[in-house]
Amino acid sequence: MKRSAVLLCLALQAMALLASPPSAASAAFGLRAGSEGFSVSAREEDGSVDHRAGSHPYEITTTISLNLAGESPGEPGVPFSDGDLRELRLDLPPGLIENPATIARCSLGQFHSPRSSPFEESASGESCPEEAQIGVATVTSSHAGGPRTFGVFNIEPPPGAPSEIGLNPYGSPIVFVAEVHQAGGEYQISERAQNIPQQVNISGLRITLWGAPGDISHNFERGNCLNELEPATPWDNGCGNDNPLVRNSRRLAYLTLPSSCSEPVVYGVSATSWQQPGTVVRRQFTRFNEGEPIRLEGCGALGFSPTAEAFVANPRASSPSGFDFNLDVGTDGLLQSKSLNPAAARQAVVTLPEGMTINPSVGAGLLGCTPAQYTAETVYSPPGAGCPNGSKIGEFTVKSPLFEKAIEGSVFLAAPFDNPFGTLIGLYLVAKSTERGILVKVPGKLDADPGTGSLIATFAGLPQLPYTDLKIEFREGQRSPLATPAVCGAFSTEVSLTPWSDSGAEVSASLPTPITSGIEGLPCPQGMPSFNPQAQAGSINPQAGAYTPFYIHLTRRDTEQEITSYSTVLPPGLLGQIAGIPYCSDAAIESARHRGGFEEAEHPSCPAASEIGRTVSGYGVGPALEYQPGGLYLAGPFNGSTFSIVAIDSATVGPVDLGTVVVRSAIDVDPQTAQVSIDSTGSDPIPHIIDGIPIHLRDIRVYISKPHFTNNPTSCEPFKVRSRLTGSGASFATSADDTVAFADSPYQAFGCRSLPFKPQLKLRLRGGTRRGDFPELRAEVRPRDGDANISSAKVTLPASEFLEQRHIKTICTRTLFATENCPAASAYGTARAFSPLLAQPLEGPVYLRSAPGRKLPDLVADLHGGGLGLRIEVVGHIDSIHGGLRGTFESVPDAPVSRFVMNLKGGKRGLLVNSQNLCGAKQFGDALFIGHNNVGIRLRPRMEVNCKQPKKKRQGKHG
Amino acid sequence: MKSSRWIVWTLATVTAFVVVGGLAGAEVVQKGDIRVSFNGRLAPKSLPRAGAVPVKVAVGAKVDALAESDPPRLRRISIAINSAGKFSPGVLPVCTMRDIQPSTTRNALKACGSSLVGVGRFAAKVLIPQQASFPAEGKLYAFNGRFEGHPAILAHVYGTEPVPTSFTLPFVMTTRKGELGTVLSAAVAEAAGKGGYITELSLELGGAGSPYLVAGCPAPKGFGGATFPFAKATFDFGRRKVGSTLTRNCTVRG
Repeated sequence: MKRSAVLLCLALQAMALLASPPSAASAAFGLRAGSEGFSVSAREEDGSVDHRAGSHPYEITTTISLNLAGESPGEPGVPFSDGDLRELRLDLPPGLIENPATIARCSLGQFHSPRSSPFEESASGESCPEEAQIGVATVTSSHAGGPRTFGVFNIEPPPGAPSEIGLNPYGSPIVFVAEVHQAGGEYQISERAQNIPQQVNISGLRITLWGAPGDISHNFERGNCLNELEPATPWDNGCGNDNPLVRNSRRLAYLTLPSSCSEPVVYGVSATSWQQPGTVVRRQFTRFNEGEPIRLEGCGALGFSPTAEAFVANPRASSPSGFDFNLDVGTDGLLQSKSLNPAAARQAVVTLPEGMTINPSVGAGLLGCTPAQYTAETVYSPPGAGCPNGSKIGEFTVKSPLFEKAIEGSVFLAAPFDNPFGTLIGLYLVAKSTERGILVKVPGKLDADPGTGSLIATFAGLPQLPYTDLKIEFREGQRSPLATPAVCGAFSTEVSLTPWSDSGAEVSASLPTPITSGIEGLPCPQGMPSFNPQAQAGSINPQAGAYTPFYIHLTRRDTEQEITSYSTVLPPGLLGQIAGIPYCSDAAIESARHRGGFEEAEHPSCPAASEIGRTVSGYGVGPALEYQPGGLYLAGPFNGSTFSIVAIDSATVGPVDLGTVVVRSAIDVDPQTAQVSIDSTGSDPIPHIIDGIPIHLRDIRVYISKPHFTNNPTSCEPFKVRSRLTGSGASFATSADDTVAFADSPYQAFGCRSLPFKPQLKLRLRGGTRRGDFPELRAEVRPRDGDANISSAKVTLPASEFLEQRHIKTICTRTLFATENCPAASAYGTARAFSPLLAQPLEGPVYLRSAPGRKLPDLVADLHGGGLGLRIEVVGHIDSIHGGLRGTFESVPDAPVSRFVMNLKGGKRGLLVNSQNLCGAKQFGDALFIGHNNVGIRLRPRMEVNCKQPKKKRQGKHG
Repeated sequence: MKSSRWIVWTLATVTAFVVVGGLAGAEVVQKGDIRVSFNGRLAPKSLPRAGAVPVKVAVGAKVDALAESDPPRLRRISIAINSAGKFSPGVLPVCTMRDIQPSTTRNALKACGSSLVGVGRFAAKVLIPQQASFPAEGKLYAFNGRFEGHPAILAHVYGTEPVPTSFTLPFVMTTRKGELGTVLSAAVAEAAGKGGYITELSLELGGAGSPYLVAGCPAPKGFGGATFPFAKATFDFGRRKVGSTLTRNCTVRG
């Protein structure tokens, strides 16, 4: 009956308060000065201050007192706060743990049902079970004329909150919702009470949370045993140790002090009033009675024995693989109230197995997470609202005894260089529980050894929370971010862990992460990797003599050595139409070497007009590679060659810009066959590691695709495209163990028989026509456009022409010819060749060059130029047939020529001498031309001779 | 008479160069690493004491290099002939170098067939700079001609291996005082060119009743025959000269 009366009185008071306007606001709302206004103390059971790091204090008491505004009208002697407390937030020191999981929960229904005590009429608006009580709170307000103490309970948290505690004084619930947030890189719990009922009119609040709520020493303050007006004098009837509610068996710790001793312990409070909600009053408590800062002690005594595990998801060599790293700091000390909680790990440094590197295959669709996006990752941000989904490369999970469910999240790739470390590769670990409002964010960096690509991951600032399983999983599958070592072996992952306790007790562990098998059922690779690259090459259009795009496709297997250089010899007759194509300048190429990959892809350094094709390079391991397009350009002299090609690829892996891969290759044209080749000794090496990331170049596709550039041979002989590749050996770092492999690809054009072949030949003797004169010979060959190219030619002069051996005085040796040092006197004529492929004609002297094994020296046209500085030799053997002087050009390059003119000198240096008067009977030569399509044609050109007598000057008519 | 004697000695000299059945019985002269074998034959051997009759003579020479090196380069052949010989270039049409050089044999005969005074063969080594030497050989035709204002025997050579080429050795006839007063001289180097190294040369002149070459046997009265120095041959190789005086005999006809 008495209790009912009290409740009725309270209800009436509440109605009166709601009906009346709030008391006048005062600018003096705030906390009283000094520790009177705000103080926190953690104490042991004997009342002494608990300074032990990692300990479970007997209790932690937080006291706040608000400025008073005098007496309330009509209530003399009752203090009034200057402003009504609306919001109160208590910031616990980083690392201070409240573990609600050890405590039973009070349901919302219980929390809002007024207590009915058998001992007194309770003013508490709750009827929570004793098992849910975690402390007491003494409320000083205008109610009841003085302080009154109420139970504080662990309440069923609403969605989005990790925990909730509350008291319900006078039926006015004050609920503190816990928030876990990062501050200064550390994790911190805040208890925040919003919309504190104004009618409570709090002027002071003293909250005592028990370190082990189940401890029997709290029995007298528990539930109905609590004497709200005089808590020091509990109801003794049925309370105490005889209380059937005593839970000696559950003395699990609820509070745990931080395990770090380096920084002073800082408690914080902030409050606002109903009258001035925008004005926030803040205070920190760092020292007792203006004494020394509060510091925890005994960090050195804290245990730190985390266990770590590492797994290579795919134990096959040279394979894409995920990688799991688990860390367990243990929780036994967290729960046992008489034990110290071991330190949590502040930093983990994980050195991945040697040879385990970044897998460029991860790049497809990969994005980077910018700092702004990382910041935008909140508890409630949906996937992609913060870090983009494309930047996710793994899973991040934290299991903590503080929460029923794991906190789950992702591993994101940070934007290169735009991350907290300014590094090429950074990681963001983001785990969240929207159910409990928990967000854990840990940035990490990944350092790659520039020489070997070995990886070291560093995560500084791991949560100072107890967890049984902190798991970082880099995703598995074809586009795993990591690649396993190239060989099998007992590899290990080295882990170094540094505790929050700052004791210097760094813990290291070597975790076996063996590579146990090969790929695709192949034997486990051991020692020096093999190197058997494959090559495919061919013309898209196989028609002989026709324009065609040409491609070369080189591949190697994952377990094979990296490709470090490449050279090739194209089939004879496969030539490009250089005429009209400008060079990409040296300056532009040099510029490309120093550009970013994205920039190069957006705005190529070389002019489009110099582009003759494109490249596609596949980087990575496993079935899915990262393909990057590039350009193939014509360039000028390089490494002794008169022209070159340069492949410029953008080396980008997702958002990671490794710059460009510029491989410039000197082009050689064989003087005898006009075969085009790329010599690796005159070419840039192919980089295999850039900024610590092995590019694992496994697939090279070169397309020479400029329209009307490449022409097929006019020969249908079976040829091959021979590629020579250099492998990196066992070690990237040295070229001493590099190996060489050849990869041949058959090549053959078709349709040669359909090619016409009808060249024309003109022979002309100029100069003296009489016997014994030494005439000049001009021979002009005019193949037709579209015809097969001339393979060989035998040209026999009329029997009227003898070789004048007496004029053969100087012969160029082959050695001098090779070094282009033939004496001028060994030149007996000149020659010019015009080709539609070249902008300028090839021209040069015609030498008599020594011909071992032959009776007479060879007649060699040493042609230069073409606008490219080319050198082509056209070699003719001299002999006779049927009394006629014959020149046999056995091997003419399979190259389109529109006109070829050879002039042999006459006169004193003439090789020919007339054995009869040329102006007698008509003279005919004989010629047999064989096309590269094996079609022959015999011609009998008339030897043109100018037999007209010079006209006599007409006599002028006089008179 | 004087003319006929001149011809006789000329023929006798040329005969000395005839190669008959190899070089057995040849005059072999060696100097340093050069050895030259001279040979000759005269037919008929029986000649009238008085007057002269047409004769056929064959002359030949072979040059060997004893060292394993390039053959010596013959620059000039000079033959001083006994003045008793009789050579009658005027009885035949005159062929000039321009008519036959260069030309094929066929064309040479076509141009100067009526001046033909003999046939022969030649062999040479052709040396072209930077090339291995190779042998060349062919038929030789001798024409009655003139060269540089002098009567001459134009020895025309034509070959097709390895390429068609021809050259003509002009044996210029000059006279001087003395027993060996008729000289046939040919500048081989100029004719054969820088690369031509003659190794063998044979020539058969006269015969068939041609008055171009006539001879008698200069035996004194009371003697049935004569032995006489009829020529001195000199091969000039530049650094050294190799020469030999040939002695032949004849019998008096009837």
